[in-house]
Amino acid sequence: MRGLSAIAAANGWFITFTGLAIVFTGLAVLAGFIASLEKLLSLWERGAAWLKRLLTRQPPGPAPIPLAQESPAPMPQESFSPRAVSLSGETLEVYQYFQWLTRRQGDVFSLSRLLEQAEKRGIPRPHFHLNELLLLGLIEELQGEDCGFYRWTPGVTVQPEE
Amino acid sequence: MDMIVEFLKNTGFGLVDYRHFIMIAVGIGFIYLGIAKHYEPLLLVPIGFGILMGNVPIFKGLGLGIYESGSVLNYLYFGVRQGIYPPLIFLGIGAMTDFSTMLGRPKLMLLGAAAQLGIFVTYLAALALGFPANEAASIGIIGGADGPTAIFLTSKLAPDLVGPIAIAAYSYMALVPVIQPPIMFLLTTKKERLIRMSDPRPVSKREKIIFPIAGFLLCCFLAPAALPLLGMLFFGNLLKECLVADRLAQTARTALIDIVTIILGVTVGASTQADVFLTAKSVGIFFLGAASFMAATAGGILFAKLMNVFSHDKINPLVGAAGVSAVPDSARVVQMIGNREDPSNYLLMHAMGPNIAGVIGSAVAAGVLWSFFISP
Repeated sequence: MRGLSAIAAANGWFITFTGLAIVFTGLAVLAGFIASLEKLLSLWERGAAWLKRLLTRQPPGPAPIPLAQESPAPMPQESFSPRAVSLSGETLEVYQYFQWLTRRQGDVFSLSRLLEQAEKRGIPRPHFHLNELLLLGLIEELQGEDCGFYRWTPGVTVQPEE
Repeated sequence: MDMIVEFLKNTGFGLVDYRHFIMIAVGIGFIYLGIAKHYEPLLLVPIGFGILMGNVPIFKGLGLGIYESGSVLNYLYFGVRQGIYPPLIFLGIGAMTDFSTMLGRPKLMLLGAAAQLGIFVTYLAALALGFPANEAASIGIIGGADGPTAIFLTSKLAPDLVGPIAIAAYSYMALVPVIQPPIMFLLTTKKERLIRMSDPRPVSKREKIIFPIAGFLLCCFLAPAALPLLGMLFFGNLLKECLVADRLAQTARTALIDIVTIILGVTVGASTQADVFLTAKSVGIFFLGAASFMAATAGGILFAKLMNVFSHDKINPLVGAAGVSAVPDSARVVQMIGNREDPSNYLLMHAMGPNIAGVIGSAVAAGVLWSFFISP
């Protein structure tokens, strides 16, 4: 059998239209998902940050002491002054990857090795982000015998940019 | 004297006929295209040499030929017959592919879907020419421009045609720089070829990690028969992007894919034994394969033009031609043609999106076709 009758006999039209519809639907749904993924992730981040704030809020004390209420809030007693740095989405993500990569090297790490590992793993714009973290004081150079090596600055915490 | 004559009769010189010469010439042609013209050398050189191996005239019954059970080549060919090698190649492709260009501009994925038109148009054409439905589906998949997918589907639907279909698919993939440009010029105006596209948005690492998981689940729930191919493709990509399995990703994208490509290429080449391969059916498959490639290219370009009617953010229709999944050759052809019109217009990055979507699209199409022919 040949021609249109052969196509009809083998359900050719049905298979073609259904097949094309499935391929288009599959890729269109995937495209839609990818398009909204960025928004979904930022929504998730905001939700997580809100939850974190909610959980870290101090619960009310059992019996309020009037004297304590009137006194000013106690100052932190650490030897270094802790500070929080706000990072934007991409930089925060790269910061987390750098943290993960340096964990393998130990507390003291080499910047060139870190860059090499970041490039190998396809982290976007590693030089730019590393420079940004240095300028923000998140990474500091060691002195003395360890000069030329770096570490994460103690007492500096990172939070997502509002 | 009789012994010498008998011995000579059993050598290749005594057993050879004209068909062997034709196939040996084809094999040498493949090796030439691979080495001298750099057309897909990693595929054409093993396949070309495999054709030579499969077409040395041999005495049947000695357990040497690829179709003789117990022969070394027959054991290696098992992976082709059972569709084992294509998913392993997809694992390697996943581990070496950066999906960020596609993730940065997801609407271009539709061009990868549109280019699958070639598969279904050729399927209809093959049916109309009298091919049985399972063979027609296997011939149609050549239009996916994806060798492993074509081999995988053919091994499931029409195992006897694996040789001609694989050879047709890889030949046309290698000839993408020759087949596509005339169609691209025919279907686009100069003004359209000059369109500059805006940059895609940057893609975060987290999106790249989520994509293979979500993409796998979405596609395989829709077309479960594509699971062996898409499962391995997305798994390979997850290995690459998750950073913590770097050793596995490295193996998948280097040693593993290389080993499988060598074995697949040689055995597919060797499966083109002249007496099995040189038939009228093979000639028909070659013609339909070429038509399939052309229809796929046209489908992508025309759909890009259609998208431009409805979208403010214009797409250069040349990018649609990259919807056929010959990665990265068709994207390179888009860049080359775009550059010919405007040397400062860089389309390669944009073309990689539909190009990679084409890989996913052709695997989904193969899954869909296979599922229609799986006997209940």
